Amino acid sequence: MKCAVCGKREAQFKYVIVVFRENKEIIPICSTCLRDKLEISEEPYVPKHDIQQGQRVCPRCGLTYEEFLQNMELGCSTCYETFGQFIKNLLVRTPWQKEVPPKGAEIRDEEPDKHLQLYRLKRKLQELLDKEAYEEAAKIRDKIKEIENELRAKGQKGT
Amino acid sequence: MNLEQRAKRAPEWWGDTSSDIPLFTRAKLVRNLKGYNFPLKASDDELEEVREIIAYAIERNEKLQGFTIFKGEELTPEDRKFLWERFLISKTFIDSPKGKLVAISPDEDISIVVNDRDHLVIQSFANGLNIREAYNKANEIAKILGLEYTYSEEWGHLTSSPLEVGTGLRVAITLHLPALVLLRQYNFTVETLTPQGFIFHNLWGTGTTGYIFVVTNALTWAFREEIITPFEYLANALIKQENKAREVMNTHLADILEDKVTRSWGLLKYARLLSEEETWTYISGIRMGISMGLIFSAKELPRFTNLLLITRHSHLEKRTGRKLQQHIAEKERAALVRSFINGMEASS
Repeated sequence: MKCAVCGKREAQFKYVIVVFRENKEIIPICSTCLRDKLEISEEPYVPKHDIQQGQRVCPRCGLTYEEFLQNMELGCSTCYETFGQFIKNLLVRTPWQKEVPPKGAEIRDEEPDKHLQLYRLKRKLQELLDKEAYEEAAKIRDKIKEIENELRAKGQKGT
Repeated sequence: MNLEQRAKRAPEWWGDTSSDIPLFTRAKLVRNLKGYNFPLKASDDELEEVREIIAYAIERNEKLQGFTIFKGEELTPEDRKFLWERFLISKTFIDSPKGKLVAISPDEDISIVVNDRDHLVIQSFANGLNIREAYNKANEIAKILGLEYTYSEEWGHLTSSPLEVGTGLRVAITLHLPALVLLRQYNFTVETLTPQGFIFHNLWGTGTTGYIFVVTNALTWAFREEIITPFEYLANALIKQENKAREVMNTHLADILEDKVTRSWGLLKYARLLSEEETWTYISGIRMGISMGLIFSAKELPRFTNLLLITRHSHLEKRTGRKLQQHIAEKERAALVRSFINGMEASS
């Protein structure tokens, strides 16, 4: 089919004008005329913030901007600083919500506990015992006991 | 309790006894441990360490004693599909179980998944529209696990998907809306509510699912009340609309409505092959009929709700204890439904 605008070239696209709901006009059109119609330049369109962010790589985990766009997944907590502005553009607030998003402290209500610390200390203790550094091991053992007592007071199993 | 026994009945949070419209509520909390990369960029050693730490915290906690813990590698693909059908794990867990872990509470109302997209995903379920109950349960688990989560003053809790940052909280309500679909009101509802920050999708993802839909919040970077309170209004508004649609059908299209219900009954009773989609559609028709007083008494409602889950493909496989081809599964499903109906008629 020939292009309906210039009448010379072969039509590759359909230009649809929606008059009202189901009432549509469909015009066969070639790529050159379509470009004129939509006022698109020859170069591919890249949004402004993409140019600035495009070269960024997360210093901690090495996630690139392209990788991030591919599956919308971040690699580490530092990514939030690297791609912060872009992420903010993603999160659109709806009209009925408060204009300013909440601060971290307004969200958080869990208090960090000691399990992670306990786990790490126990690992270290084992290492020191293997090395036969008993003096340092004794210090760490005291620390572990202290944390376990705290946990027991909260009603959690510590041993 | 092993998985074969679980396959014979739906968990307690599945379905609401008083009405057929709300099915269940789910609250999902997403957290990551401090000092480790998110699973996308974490090394195998790091993932293993994260898994050990969280498993240690679960096993050690007195309040989480009854939890069953499965490592991803220990589960067969059939097991994983079964757990996914029960909403306990996500779809990515089925495809790549390596380095992952799931802990399930005795009542199956809480599941803790480790190293999926994020280090820690806590899901909790509740009957009907108990949104706050579901949220409180999930939050309680996040607290008593006592791990240190990554967190920033600017964003709140940091998650691997930027669309879950902040509270990391996703609330989902599940509603059965047949009359809205039949009267072609459903698409309009979705179009109106999507710009308001709600996402609609089918239960179990793609395909028809017996007119059962899930509504979740799009934005998690919000105050907790901004997420939870709108759902209470939304659920009531949607239920009101659905009831209104049913009333309209009852007054103007009574014959069509009656046909839908009785046809569903006949097909379930006499069909010898039933596909999943067919089964859901017919059960959905009967559930609507029951709550409108057209067929059976209200006490039969939970039985049909139960049937919705246990006729799923992996549930049938677990029940029969072997792998089922499509055709055989359809036969088994029809037989299960028939035996259920015969049992029901004998008891009444």
